[in-house]
Amino acid sequence: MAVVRRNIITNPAVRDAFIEGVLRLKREDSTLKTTAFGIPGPPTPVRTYDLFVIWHYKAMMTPVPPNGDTDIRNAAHRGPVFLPWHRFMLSLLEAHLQRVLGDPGFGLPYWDWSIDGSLPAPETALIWKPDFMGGQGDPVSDGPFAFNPADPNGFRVRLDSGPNVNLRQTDRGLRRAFASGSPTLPNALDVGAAFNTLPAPFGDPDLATYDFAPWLANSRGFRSRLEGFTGTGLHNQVHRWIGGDMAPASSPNDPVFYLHHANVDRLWEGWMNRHGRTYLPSMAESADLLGHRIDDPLISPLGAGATPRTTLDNTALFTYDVVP
Amino acid sequence: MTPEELAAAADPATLGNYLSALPEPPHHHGPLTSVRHDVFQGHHIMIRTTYEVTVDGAPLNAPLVVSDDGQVHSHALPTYEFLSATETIRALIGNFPDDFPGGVRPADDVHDRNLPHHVHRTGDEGGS
Ligand SMILES: [Cu+2]
Repeated sequence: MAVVRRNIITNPAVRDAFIEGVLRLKREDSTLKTTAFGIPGPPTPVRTYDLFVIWHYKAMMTPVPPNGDTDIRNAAHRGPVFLPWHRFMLSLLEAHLQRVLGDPGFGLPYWDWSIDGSLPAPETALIWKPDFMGGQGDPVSDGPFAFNPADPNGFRVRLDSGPNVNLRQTDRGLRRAFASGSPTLPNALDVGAAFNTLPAPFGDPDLATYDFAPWLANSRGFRSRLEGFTGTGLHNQVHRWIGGDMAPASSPNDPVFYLHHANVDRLWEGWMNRHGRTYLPSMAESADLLGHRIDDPLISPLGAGATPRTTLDNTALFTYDVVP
Repeated sequence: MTPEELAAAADPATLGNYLSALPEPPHHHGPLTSVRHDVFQGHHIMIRTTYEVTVDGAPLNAPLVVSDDGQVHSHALPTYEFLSATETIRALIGNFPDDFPGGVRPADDVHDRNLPHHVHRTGDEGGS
């Protein structure tokens, strides 16, 4: 049975289950140590939640093509696979949350940031209240992920990536710095514009196509618009507005990452409802795009079982309560 | 993909063992060099850019690349695009406080800690 992903603002039971599940994954020992991942320092147990931080980091540090530069295109970002890879990552986290909650009916909630982006002061929105995700700070000091130095099992950031993009051990509270990298969140007009395929100057007909050669961060089409390298910013802008731990390659450290990406995924679903469950590039494209073509394996534990194609129709796994 | 397939993969060891078997990511040693090519009036232009940056006298090895349109990008802040290298370094200092000890940090206004040109919703600094 497919689960339903719901708006976290209007579904307190799902909100509380998400928080509880995250805290359980944050406490759970994955049985692997930091040394297994080449992380410098003493061998330290890695919690299951932090495996997802490592996964995101490793995908981001996988260049495409293999002899290329991760700054240009990598196995999860700055190219067509951005949406499929994050969709699969979310699905696996959702399955882990279902496991630790003992609830196969749990659906990952989403945060519709475009509603808050239309407010004059998004930092006062419900999502940042103590019953929800807590607010900003270094460390975040209220809500379910507040730093408590006296509680070794509380929510802590244990792995992060620094200015040299090296993954390293740390032991500190979560950080958020609202408006640090962008003065505003994307709003409803920005989202509407991403779906506007009218001829210029009213819209952009290219947005009816998923992606275009040369398949780079800022190529024409819907993917780069939603990722945020063209147009007003969308996905990227949300990371920059939240700031703190949402800024580096270790951004899944902030549980808000998943609420944000569930909303990005919901917007992709809305695009597919309009234009079909289509994806580009096909396998006819150069092997230089290995990892981004429709039948290439994602960087995932499922190997060839998870490709962009296998993520296009996931209605057997999950649906959204509302698709824009 | 079915819920059963996904549930079967949802144990810590499956993800952990997979990730530990992935190749080591390439490590950045020293500054990166960006190469831009252009053709204008039949002339071939090639621009090699290497940023040599120090902060408080210490070399900064953060990877900085410049794209064809002149925007600067650092993989340390993957969702940012910068108009200049100066802006990039300021953002690195603001976002990685542990890596840039000392300095003058406005402690009680978290907004002021990061990008000076992007911080304020209102006020006289304006955008960039
Ligand atoms: Cu990502």
